[in-house]
Amino acid sequence: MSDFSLQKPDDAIQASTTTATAPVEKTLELSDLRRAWWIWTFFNLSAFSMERMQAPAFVYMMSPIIKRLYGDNSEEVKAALKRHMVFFNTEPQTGVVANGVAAALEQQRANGAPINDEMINGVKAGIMGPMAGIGDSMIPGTLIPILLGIGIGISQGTGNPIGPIFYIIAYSVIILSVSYYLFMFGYRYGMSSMKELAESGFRRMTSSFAVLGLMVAGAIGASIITLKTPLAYTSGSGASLVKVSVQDTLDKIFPQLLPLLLVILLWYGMRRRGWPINRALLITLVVVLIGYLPGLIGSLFGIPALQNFRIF
Amino acid sequence: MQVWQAALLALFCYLGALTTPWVLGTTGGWYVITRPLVAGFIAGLILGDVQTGVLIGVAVQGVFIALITPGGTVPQDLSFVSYLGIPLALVAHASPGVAVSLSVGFGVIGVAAWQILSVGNAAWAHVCDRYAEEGNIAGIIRVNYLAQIGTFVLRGVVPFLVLLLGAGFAQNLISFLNNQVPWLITYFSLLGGALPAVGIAILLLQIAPAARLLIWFFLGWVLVVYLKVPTVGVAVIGTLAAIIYYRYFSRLDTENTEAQNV
Repeated sequence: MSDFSLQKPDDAIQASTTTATAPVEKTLELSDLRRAWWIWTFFNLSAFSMERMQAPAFVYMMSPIIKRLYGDNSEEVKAALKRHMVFFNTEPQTGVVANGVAAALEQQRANGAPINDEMINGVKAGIMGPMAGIGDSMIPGTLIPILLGIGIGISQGTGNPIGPIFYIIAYSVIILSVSYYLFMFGYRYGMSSMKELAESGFRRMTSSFAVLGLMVAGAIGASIITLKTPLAYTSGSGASLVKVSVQDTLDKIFPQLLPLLLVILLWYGMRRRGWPINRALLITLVVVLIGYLPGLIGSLFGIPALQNFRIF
Repeated sequence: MQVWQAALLALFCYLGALTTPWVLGTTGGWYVITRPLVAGFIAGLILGDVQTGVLIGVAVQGVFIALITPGGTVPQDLSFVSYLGIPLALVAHASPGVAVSLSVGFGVIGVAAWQILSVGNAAWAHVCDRYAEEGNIAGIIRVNYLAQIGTFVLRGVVPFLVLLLGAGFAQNLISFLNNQVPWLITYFSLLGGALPAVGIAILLLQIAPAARLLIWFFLGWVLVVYLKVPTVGVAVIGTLAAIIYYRYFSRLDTENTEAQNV
């Protein structure tokens, strides 16, 4: 860990550490780190609660590291367990970079570096927040919709099972590689990792990724939303009666226009008016109901004039 | 629905729950098994109609395409959407549109199950505190397994009972609605077609940092409606567009955004 530069505040240097300066440097084996990563991958939310969120899983993840570094000192083990039983919450698949950094800090601490509890947890908290935001917008916000969009494209209309199978394989392989890399990255670079991630190169990558995500979103939207109008107008009479369907006319000018307008309405409401998701669902319910209502009233009460008047 | 079918579906409901570790944690469970596209496939396999299962999965997936769970709060519960809504719609021979409406209903109910779990599990954190005091690593590790009891009851046992007892009810309900109140079924079908618009709008909200980036969304849309490009084709074109954007435009764009934000 020679490349690990500690930018410690002055009070951290004065913090008393009970660690005896060991003659032999304590190091973590690659197998310890791999084991910790695997534990986290499986158990990150297993004992999740609103109060402490992912803390029990964090301690479980740290257990091979704690045993390796402090296994011969029960007081240090207790201190380490308590240190990591504090609130922890992030996007578990990408936020794992914080776990790697925590492992690196524990190793430094075990070798006598003046790192106190507040510092370790401060670093964890400093990473888990931004990574929760970045991770949520990158993974469930972008990667998953793109992969699902491709899967939907394969299965749509035919029910072809290759779509879900593609998603299962693609997602698992991508995420496991990314998560493993991020954990090891966090361990290698310690605190400096977040500085690198925050550089504008990363933002450029995010917005380029958004280009792909948005195009796929457009493709999915255009193919899965169904909203058509049965409205028609008639002109002339008798033999020269011409019935023109509004939907046919719309399709000639801009196919799938109504679904696009609905998406824009909902997007506008959520972005500019701050509608929560359930309000957006309710608005959709009402919009469809309004379009359907005249025809419904006509059918229920036997009013022929209204029966065929439906907007949707 | 046979007992073994209900049991298998409930097992997948549990394995795919947000807090279940056994199938690669959240990665293999919540983000794979519980995605409606995958659930439709699995439910189709178990119930003997893969094609219809996948079609229902595709329809339901549209609504929940961009659902994220920020800070552990879920506006809609995917476990019940995927493993109650989809199988019940499948056995009741509901159309994909009706299946979407049914699933959204289960999604709202499921949120309560999630809240019970995430509040109740706080007790385990206090057990961990005591073990930490004693330096008992094995005890804390054990808690990570024991906390699964609550998840198993809410995501396994409850869905099993609902599926077993609810299958006949769902069949009767759908056929009653079809015969007696066809207008309601028509409304649900219309609604099911329109609801994916909510999913797409949420997705735009998530991935477009600025409104002007929506131009890419429109580009994807018109590629499909005018040029009939399949979704996979749009993904390929999108990848090329993203590379071009990264190479030649993103630096400029990011700098402009920063200048505006200052």
